[in-house]
Amino acid sequence: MSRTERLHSLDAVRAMALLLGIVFHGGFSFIPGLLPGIWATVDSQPSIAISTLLFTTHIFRMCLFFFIAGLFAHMMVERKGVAGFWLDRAKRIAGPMIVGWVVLYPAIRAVWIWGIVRLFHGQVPPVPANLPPPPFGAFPLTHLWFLYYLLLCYALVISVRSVFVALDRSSRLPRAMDALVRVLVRSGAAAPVLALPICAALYLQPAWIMWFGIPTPDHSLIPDVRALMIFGIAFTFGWLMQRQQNLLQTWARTWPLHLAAALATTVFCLSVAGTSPKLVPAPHTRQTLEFALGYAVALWCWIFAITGIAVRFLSKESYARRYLADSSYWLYLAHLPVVAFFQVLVSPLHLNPGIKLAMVLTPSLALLLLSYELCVRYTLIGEILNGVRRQRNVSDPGSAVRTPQSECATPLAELVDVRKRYGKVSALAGVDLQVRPGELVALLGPNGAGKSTAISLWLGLIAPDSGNVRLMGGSAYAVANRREVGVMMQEVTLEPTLRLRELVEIAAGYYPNAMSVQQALELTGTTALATRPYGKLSGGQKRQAQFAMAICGRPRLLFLDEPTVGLDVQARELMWAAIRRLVSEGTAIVLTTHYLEEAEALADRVIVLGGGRVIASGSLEEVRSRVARTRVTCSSTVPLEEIRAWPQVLAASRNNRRLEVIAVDAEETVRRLLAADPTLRHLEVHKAGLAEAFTQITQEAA
Amino acid sequence: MNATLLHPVLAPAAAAVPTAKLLRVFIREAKYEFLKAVRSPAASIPFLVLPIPLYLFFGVVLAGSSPEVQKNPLLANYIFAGWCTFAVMMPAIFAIGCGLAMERTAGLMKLKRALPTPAGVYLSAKFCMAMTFAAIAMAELTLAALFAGRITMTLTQLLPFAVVMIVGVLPFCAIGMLIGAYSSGPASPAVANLVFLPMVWLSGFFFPLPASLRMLSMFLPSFHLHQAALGVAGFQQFMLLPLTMTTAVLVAVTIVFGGLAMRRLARVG
Repeated sequence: MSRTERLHSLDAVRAMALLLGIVFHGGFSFIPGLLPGIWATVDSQPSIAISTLLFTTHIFRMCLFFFIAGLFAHMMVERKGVAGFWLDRAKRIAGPMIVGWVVLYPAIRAVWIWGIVRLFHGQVPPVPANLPPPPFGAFPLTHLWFLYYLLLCYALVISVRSVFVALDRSSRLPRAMDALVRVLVRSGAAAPVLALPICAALYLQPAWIMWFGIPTPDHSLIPDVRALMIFGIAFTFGWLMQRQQNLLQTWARTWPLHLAAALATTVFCLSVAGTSPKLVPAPHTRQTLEFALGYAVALWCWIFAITGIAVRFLSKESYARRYLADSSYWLYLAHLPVVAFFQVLVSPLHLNPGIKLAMVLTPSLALLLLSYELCVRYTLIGEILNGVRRQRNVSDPGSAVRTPQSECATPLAELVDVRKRYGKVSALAGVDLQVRPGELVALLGPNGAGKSTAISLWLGLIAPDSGNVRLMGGSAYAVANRREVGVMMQEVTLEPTLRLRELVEIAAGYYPNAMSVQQALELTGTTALATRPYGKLSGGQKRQAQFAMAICGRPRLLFLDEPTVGLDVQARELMWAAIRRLVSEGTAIVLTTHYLEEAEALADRVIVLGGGRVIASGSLEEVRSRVARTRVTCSSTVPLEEIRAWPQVLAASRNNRRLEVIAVDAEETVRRLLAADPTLRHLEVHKAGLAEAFTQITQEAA
Repeated sequence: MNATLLHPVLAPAAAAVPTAKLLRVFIREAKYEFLKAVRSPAASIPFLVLPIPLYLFFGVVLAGSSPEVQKNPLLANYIFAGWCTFAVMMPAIFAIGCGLAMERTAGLMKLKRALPTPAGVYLSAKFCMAMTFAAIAMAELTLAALFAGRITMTLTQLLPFAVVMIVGVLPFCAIGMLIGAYSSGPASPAVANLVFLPMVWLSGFFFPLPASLRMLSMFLPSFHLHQAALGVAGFQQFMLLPLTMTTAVLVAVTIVFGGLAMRRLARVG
């Protein structure tokens, strides 16, 4: 499940790659030194600033797109199977490519001819007569080549995959690949290592125009092997990354490094290739090789940096981003004639090229977005391009502003199929947990059951081996999400010389809507300890102090890891009262505890963990009834062996002649006991408390 | 229990912390970091008190009467610079190195990561603490030197010299961070000493080193800080390396060691 759900951050990255393509084409006519005929027009005001920008974005935008496409493709193959995948791709990629070409090619052609005629003021020089005949397979794919190559990538990767599946039934190879990807990503070696084959493909390109980087294979139906190799590597790496999506979190942490490396290598490439293109084939010199290597490293660093930034900052759902992501495919498909039209229109004007670029892009994007809103989003075209047809109705949960109900239903904290190992010990083995607003969830389980691991994952202290961890609907690593979370951890020794009020003051300072120190102390009953150094507090008082630090930020979600350990009865009652009050005011609480009466006293929902799995989950009553145990005690001489043989009896034991029987069916057990021993006395029947249920469940699981 | 809790859900959504508030958070953290150190005098007194008698005894009484200093009065400045480097390194390496290691072992670093601590606040507060201690120690040493040390620096030499010394704490903060990030609490004093003592003895602070050891000192950041401070004060005759190079080494040490430490801290806390 975890690998197949909507990934807002990656949607945003894909949209960005496509929108950068529109910017690239929008700025193309401003590149200095452009020959007439290469593009629809040559602007009268060429700009080095624009060409530098285009050079930079062009390094990575297509590979970024193919990388994300690989990720999503693997996700879809997992969800729909190979046949379902091809059906979907035929509808959403092949169809739009063919129909799009038929519609767009004449429009592009028309704008091009108009532009060139305008450029030469009506006197277009004649085409040289002795041009060589076009090579076999020549075909003007236009900007839709990316769909053609996408289909080729699908075909290649899926056929390689089916060969692997046929040959390697033990799936040793995928595991090895996963391990390799993991090592590459975690060690930071992914960029330089993956750059090597791309560097080779670039360097070996015949008649390579360095400035334009990866050659655009838009002129032939015969696949350009080197371009296909480069995009195929990006695609395959995305495909493999999706198998271990949690690795993306690595980039969410290291994005500043990748960004710095990307900028540095880009500057190097610019220093070699210049800010405007030299339209001559690159010689096979050492400098060219260095450039190719720098270019390839820059390409990966940009991809990792941008993906990392998106995962880090854009993982929450946003309506505007969602809309842009939905529309980006249409925008990119349709943009070329529109953008070129405005380029031709503004090309003779004597204005600042920056302003002219804005004059090209603003009306183009406005027109395209308008056409999306009016003709695509809610129609058959939108259904084909995006896989869903949006409803104009605002209350549609998928499309528009979220309603308060859906807001409430959004879990505050979530683990989806999370696995985490420490060496050989599996702390969590595929756990799904959700915490909803305003509920108190008790996490129960013996030592080492994975309770603290779950909390550490939610707090972003450790990363899962696989699966998704979400806090406030977003990343657990984002500080912004933790501003709504309070925490009381186990085994923390705070600075002994600081006084209690100082500790609370520091913690409260981190939260935007914190209560006053005084309030926090009153609520936790620690006012009298305010000026006492932490080191001089008793064990229980230390827990109370940490509780005050946990709640001082008015969190929406509170993690309490064994909060009442070491408290005396009075202090525990006080903490329980404070917890109940917080819950009644809407705070959600995750409480781990060994004390079952604590869970019984406080929890709305109980989750029992054991051996890294959820063994039981539900309301107190549900967990109790799931085990529906009764304990029958009496003074009797019936032999234990005989009782144990009865079908409804789970366990029987004798203590000082007092017989204790745990059974599923109380009435039947009592009837048989009385029948077997008429002298039976002191009969007592108990419904099992949570303690019995809990012991029973964890023993069964073990 | 009469405190009124606002309904948390009704409170405004957690917004980004405005800059002014961030500054307050930072100042508060730095203040308590400093208080922490001051309130455990056994740890902080060595930084503030130890360098003075050491300087007066070794740097003024013993070295001052040596024939070299009699011959070349400028050497007094060299010795003074050595003891200043000694004094500013100490809080950075010991207070940050051992402090961080202890707090990591105590789980405090983990709590700081679990709380919405704004990025960098925790560590930069430690830097500030180390620099404050360094500044105080510098001021004391300067007073001692002006009264007894026969240094020849003018105010225009002394000011940039002091600024370099205090800013020069940063590379040692980075080293302290690295010690704190890798060693456990109980082991950290030993590790810090193993780092600190060679830097003190092999940097040629107290007497110009023989040529055979001079190569070795090039690898020690303490040597470079000593050189940089003498360089900005204009003592060309003591400079073994150009000022730009020593500065570059100090910056590189800060970035590399600091980066390694941050990487480790982000992973293990």
